[in-house]
Parts: sequence; C-alpha cells; structure tokens
Amino acid sequence: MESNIVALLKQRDKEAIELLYEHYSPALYGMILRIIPNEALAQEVLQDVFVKIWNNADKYDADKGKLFTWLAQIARNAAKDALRSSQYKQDAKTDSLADNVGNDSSLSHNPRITDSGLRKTIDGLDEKYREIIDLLYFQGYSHSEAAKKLDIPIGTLKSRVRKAILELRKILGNELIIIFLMMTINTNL
Amino acid sequence: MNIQEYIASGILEQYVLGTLSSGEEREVLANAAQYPEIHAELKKIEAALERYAMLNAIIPPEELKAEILKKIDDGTAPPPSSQSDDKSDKSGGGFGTLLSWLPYILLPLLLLTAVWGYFGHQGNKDAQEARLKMGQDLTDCRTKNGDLIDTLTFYRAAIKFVNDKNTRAVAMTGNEKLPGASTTIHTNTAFKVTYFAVNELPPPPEGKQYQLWAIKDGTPQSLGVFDISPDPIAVDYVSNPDAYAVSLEQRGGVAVPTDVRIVGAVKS
Repeated sequence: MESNIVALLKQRDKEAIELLYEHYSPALYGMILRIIPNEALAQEVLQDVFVKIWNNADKYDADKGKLFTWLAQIARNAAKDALRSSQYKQDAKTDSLADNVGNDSSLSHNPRITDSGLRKTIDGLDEKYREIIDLLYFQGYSHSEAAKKLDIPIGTLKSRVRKAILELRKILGNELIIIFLMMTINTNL
Repeated sequence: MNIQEYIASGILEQYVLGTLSSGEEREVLANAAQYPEIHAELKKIEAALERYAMLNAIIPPEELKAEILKKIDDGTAPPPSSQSDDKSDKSGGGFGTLLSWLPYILLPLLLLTAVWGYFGHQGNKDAQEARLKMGQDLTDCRTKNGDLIDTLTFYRAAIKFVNDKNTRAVAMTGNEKLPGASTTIHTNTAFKVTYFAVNELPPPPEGKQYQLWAIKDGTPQSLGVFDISPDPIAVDYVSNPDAYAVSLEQRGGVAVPTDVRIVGAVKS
C-alpha cells in the first residue's frame, strides 16, 4: 500500500491524497492535536499539512525513511509553526494555546484505542518513557527543550530515548511484530 | 565500526525522531546503506513509532477530506489560521446605514421567530434529540470501524508475514507425552523477528506453565514461559537454531528444560 501511494504521489495523481487521507489522517490529526489542542486550528493545520505533502511530493525519498516518518515530520513542523504564529497573535492574552501544550488533561479527545487489552499495554509503558516519546515524537521538542522541560541532563535524556523506544517496541512486540513492520517495508536487504 | 555499539548509541532513534543535524542524518543513511543490521534496526524503530502514532490516532471530522481535496484541486493553499483576522472593517462606512435598517429587518424576524417558537417548539425538540442520537451513533460507528480496520490490518499483516519470502515456518508437534499438540514458529531471517503460535495445546496443570526453547548446538536457550493465547506471541530471534521445543515446567519457568513435550526441528 505504502509503495502504491508513493508511486501515485510521484505521478501527481490526486488519488494519492485520497489514499493518504484514508490511511494517515487520523494518526496525523492525533499528533497535531497534541501540539494544538484547539480543534478548529488543528483542522486548519491538518489541511495545510496535506497541501504541503502534495506540493512537496517530489522531496520524499524512500531511501531516507518510511513514508509515515516523513508525513509525521511535516505534521509536527506545521503544527509547531501554527502554534508559534497563534502565540504571536495572542501575545496580549493571558491564556495562550501554549499553556495547554503538554497538559494532556486539556485534551478532550480520546485516542482510538478502544481495545482495552491494548490500551492497558500502552498504559503499561513506564510514565517516564511515555513522557519522552510524547515530547519528542508527538510534540516535536528538540533534545535540549525536552531535557529542560523534564529537568534532566541532555546525556540522560539521550540514553533514555533509546530505552523508551525499546520499551515501546517490547510492548508492541506482541502485535504481530508491529503489524509486520507496518506491512510495507522494502525487503531490499 | 562496531555495529552493536552504534545501534546502542541511540543515534537511530534520534534519526527517526528528526532531531539530528543534516550532517548526522547523512552519516546514518550511509551506515544504513552499508550495514543491513543498521537498516533493519532503523526500520523497526520507524515501524514502532508509526504504530504508536496509529494507536493514538483521532479521526478528523468527515468534511475535512473534501476541503483538502478542493484546496488541492484549486491549487491554492491559503495559510492556516487566517480566518479570525481582518474581518471587521470590510463594510467600513456602511455600518450606519445598516443600523438604520435594523428595525425593519429585525421586526419581521422577531415575529417569525415567535410563530416558529409557538408551533415548532415540540418538533424542534424531537429533531434535536434525534440529531443528538444520530451524532452518538455516528461516533459509535466510527469507533467500531476503527477497530475493524485495526483487526483487518492485523490479519493482513499476519498473512503478509507468513508469506514473506524471508519467513520460515517450523512445525512443532507433541511427543508421546502430549500427542496431538501442535505449535508453530514463524521466523523472518531478514528482519530477525520470530513469533510463536499455539495451534493445539491443552491447558497446563495447576502450578505449571509451558516454556519455549530454541536449541542450538545442543544447548537450550529459553524464549520465555507463555500462557495459551489465540494470538501469536513475539519471541526473541535466535539465528540458525537446530530446533525449537516446548516443555512443561513449574510456573515462572526454569533455566534448563526438564520435561519436553513438543519439538520441531529446523530444516536447513
């Protein structure tokens, strides 16, 4: 599926966007909402992300990584940019969007995990690891920003990042080798 | 280069998280192209994070898709969050004129509202309730649909995994102590992943647990104890073992198998 979408995208076939939307919009929207809890703005950013994907399709290089890694990067950057500009506009106001960032309780959305077993497993991820993945992966913090926020040295943060993702891999391990490595990896080994 | 040390350094995770400089990124790519182990590790990190994002997915409102397609069709992409600005002053000098017309516009509207309120109140309440219920139903449908997609994805992945050209199946059958028992190992040599599936296995006696082993050069290596589950279980990858075995042990497992019940030889 992934290679089909990429081929269509490179051919400037608009079906690529429909397929991308079907497959990835919930994951991207989930990421954007972590950065921008305001739904209306998050939806604008999501639209913007798809336009960016379309306009920059030729820049995607499968040798550099999986399609979703690229999409996630675009979504994170667009959300951070939008957050910055909304903060700029709300300069005078006291409760800017940024105050809500990183505060999960402010999210009224529930992720789609309704399978209680899986929910439990994901909840089983140690809080300190989940926090790191959330900050770096979902909220696009840099290492130094995350180290500052968590009040730990940057060296500790870096070693904890690997441990966190290893832990996540272990938890997801029973999910049929992470849905057979998301079903789409090129076996050009 | 020591590949294990390189992988353990955490640089591959940083690559996927997008926190490296472009020079460091190039270095990772060059190493991944040269060393299959690094390439495979990178893919596993990407897959895990992608899956995590999928599990944290939130379905956007239905109408967004059409808006996005329209924007792309139009070939124009207005910058985000432009809506709330600069709306106020467009009608400029017309404001006074509008004010003088206001009573003529408002009065009939008020009358209409009163009539509608009188006759339409009950119907409106019913309609609102029906709409609320429909909204709830739609949310339930979306959730169920999401779950079905997850399940379907899982089974498609299972088929893909089993049929992958680098996946080998090892059929394991019960010995005379456990006739009829059957389990299977599926191991993918390219991605170095293994999973274990239970086909036929009676529940273990009280206080006992089954334990899985890989046997290589005559030495058993524990792949952990397991409870019977309809889902396949991911286990540690062992390269080129001679056989896999399941033994019945005290709960929690042992260091060396004491009571082997199921065996499957790996055909080379």
